[in-house]
Amino acid sequence: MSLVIFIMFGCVAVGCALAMVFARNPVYGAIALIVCLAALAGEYLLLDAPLLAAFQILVYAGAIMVLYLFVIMLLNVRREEGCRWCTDWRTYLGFALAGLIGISFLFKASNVAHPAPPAGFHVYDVTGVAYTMFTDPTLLFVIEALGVLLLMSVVGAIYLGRRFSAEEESLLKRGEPEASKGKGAPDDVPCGEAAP
Amino acid sequence: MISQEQLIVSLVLGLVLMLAMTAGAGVFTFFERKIAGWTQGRYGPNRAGPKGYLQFLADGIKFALKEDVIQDYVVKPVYVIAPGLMMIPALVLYAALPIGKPFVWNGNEVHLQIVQANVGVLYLLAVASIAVYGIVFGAWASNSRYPFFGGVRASAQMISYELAMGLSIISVVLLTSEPGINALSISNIVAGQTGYWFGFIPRWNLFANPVAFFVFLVCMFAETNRLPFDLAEAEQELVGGYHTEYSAMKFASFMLSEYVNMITMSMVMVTLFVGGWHFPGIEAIRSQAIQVLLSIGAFGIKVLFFCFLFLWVRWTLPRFRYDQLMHLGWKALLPVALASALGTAIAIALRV
Repeated sequence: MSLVIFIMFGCVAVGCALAMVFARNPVYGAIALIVCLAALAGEYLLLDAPLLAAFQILVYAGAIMVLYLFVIMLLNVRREEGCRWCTDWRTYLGFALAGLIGISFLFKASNVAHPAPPAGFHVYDVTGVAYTMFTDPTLLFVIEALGVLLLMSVVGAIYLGRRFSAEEESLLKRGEPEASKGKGAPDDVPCGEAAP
Repeated sequence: MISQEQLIVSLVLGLVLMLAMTAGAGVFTFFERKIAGWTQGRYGPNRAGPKGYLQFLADGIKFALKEDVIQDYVVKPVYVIAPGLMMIPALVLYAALPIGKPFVWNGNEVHLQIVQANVGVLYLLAVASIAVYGIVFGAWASNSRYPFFGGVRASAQMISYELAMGLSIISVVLLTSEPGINALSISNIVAGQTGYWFGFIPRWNLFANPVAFFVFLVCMFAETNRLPFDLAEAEQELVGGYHTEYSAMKFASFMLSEYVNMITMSMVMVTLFVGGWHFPGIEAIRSQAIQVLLSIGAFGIKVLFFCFLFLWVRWTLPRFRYDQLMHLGWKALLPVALASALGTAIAIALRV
């Protein structure tokens, strides 16, 4: 029974991933990706990883995809022009690589030895995940480094997106030719300079 | 493996709650108008039935019989499924909430809870986070300006307030956490609130961390798009916001899901902060059956109080401006919630 559901979720995930690649309308692509992520969460649930499933929905389907949709809708991205199937060589390269990975999985999947977790230790619940995360020093370092990286990108985004103060604005304008100054409102002219 | 008794209780509870929620949302619309009248010193609806009590039935019949207009310019598949997408999160959110004291039946412990997820809190957050899609898709598919503005506002607002809400819930999880107890499970969160301080103050999280309680209270209004945070459907600026282009039952399901959302958010609030089914003096009752019934009653009364609070605030406060809303979410609530989570963590670390 659970195998049947597993296969159904898998088919939905793969189908939606393909639909996302081939959708001409970016909003449809985003919808397909959301369904794909939700189906993957279902797979995690069936693999006894409820924590991962919850985070999948919470982070990817619930937060990141909402931002994607927000941007797509706000920028009003148009339908892609052109016919559906006349794709270029990159698409075929992508399919070839995906096929190779799939074939290697088919050969490899049957004889992978799963390391057994220590007795009385559930890897997939919160305690297990936290234990692994905070006791393995290399893993901890990687997570901390990722945190710093995210912080840096946030600072960068804020710097790029902020509004400049009047002082900085005038500093920026100083380098520009004189003609562009005259277009501003009279209030924009600093006190010391005469209006052109 | 769940016992047979638990399975029966879960199935019955699922059916009963589903019907109760949809019917309750209908009645809720009536009481909203009645309380609005009461607040503003007028009568409110008083024509249909005795004292107007059949008004919600009349509204329902009207919605069902109206012509369902689908404009030519809408993106039809998305337009049609959007109201359903709005309904689904509203109707599955309460599945993880215990509505009464667990009891023993045929030697098996039975929880009055549809699903006992061991990541219950994350389930709540996950379902709440996909609730925005109904609004966003409905707004986009309407292919019209005012709904579109409503949808963009709703998505920005709900993402902003989800952060503060998640952080305030972290305080609750920290308060519940003890060695050997899964603090993410909602029945454990309620069980952790059953004791007393000094013998008479109940150990509700509301008293343990009032800051997190107030942060969650504000976020609760923002997440359900209710005044003073209803910028997504601000009727003076955006006609009707995201549901401007909807009519008949599609509009009704948008509206009903808003009211169901209010009831479920009240339930979440009660479960996380106000002790769930616990009330002072529950331990003194001998009979198990009476204990369970009274615990369900206590839960219901608390939920009704928060439902009333929704209406009370709605008819008291004016709507925020958009920049005020964003300012409150990012510059006020988020740091406060972060500080409260940090403070709770430090307090727990010092105590243990």
